[in-house]
Amino acid sequence: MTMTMDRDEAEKALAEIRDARGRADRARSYADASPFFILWGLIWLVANVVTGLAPELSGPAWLAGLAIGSVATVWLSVRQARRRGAQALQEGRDMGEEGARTGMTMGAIALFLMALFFVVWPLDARQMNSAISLFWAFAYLAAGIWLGWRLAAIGAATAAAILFGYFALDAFYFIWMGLAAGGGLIAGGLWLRTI
Amino acid sequence: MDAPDEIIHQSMRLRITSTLNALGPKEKMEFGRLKALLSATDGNLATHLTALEKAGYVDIAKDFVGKKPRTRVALTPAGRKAFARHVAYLKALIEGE
Repeated sequence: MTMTMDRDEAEKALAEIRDARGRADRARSYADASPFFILWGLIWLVANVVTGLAPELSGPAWLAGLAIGSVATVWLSVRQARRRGAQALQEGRDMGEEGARTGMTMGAIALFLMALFFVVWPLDARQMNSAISLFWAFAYLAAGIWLGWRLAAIGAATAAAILFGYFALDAFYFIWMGLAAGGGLIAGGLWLRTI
Repeated sequence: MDAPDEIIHQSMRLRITSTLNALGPKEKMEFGRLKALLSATDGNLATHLTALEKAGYVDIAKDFVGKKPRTRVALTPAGRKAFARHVAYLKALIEGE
């Protein structure tokens, strides 16, 4: 005997499919974000601690960190884009426009930060460090509102740690930024991998 | 298509195939991760995966990472086609075709 379904059963089944797909996509977002958190957390940790303990090495530490981080970020992004492209091809979607818009968005963000610093210059090292760190912490918070509460929680906790360090700590600011903001990002990245 | 897929139709198997269909073409999902995403028990998930495997809809790969056993699952091409057909059937039913 052939199985049949009515309209209500079909709607319920499609709702189950949407729910399962939503969970899978959220887990994928977490897994994709995780290596970026760990990477930049390590760079923030090392560069800030070096700045705090040996200020004369601050410049080379940040330059090396930003260079390594930028190259690794591009490599990770390309790897993830290739995988998403293969999946999109399988589902009959065109990823070209999405990729171009993502690239343009990142370019717009970089230009915004440069324009902002150009307007508010001069900034001291603590202000610069806090401003960039806060920008990304709130970006994670905003992304988390759309992609999942874990991202939002990491963003909010990191922002709180940065503000505390900036206003409450003076001598230990850079050590705090390394351990709390950098360490927090690493812990957050590992947390995102648990589902 | 004028009938639902009798294998995929069952609620847990529908959620399993929906979740695995979100993976890329060469990706596999670890059993534990799938279990967590579906809030399923070991026994329940294993039972339904076996049914899907018998139908040729999923591929279950078992190996070792060091000394730790690992089970990974993926939809087969036949599984993806069956899932797409089932979804098309559900949509057609709702649209009254």
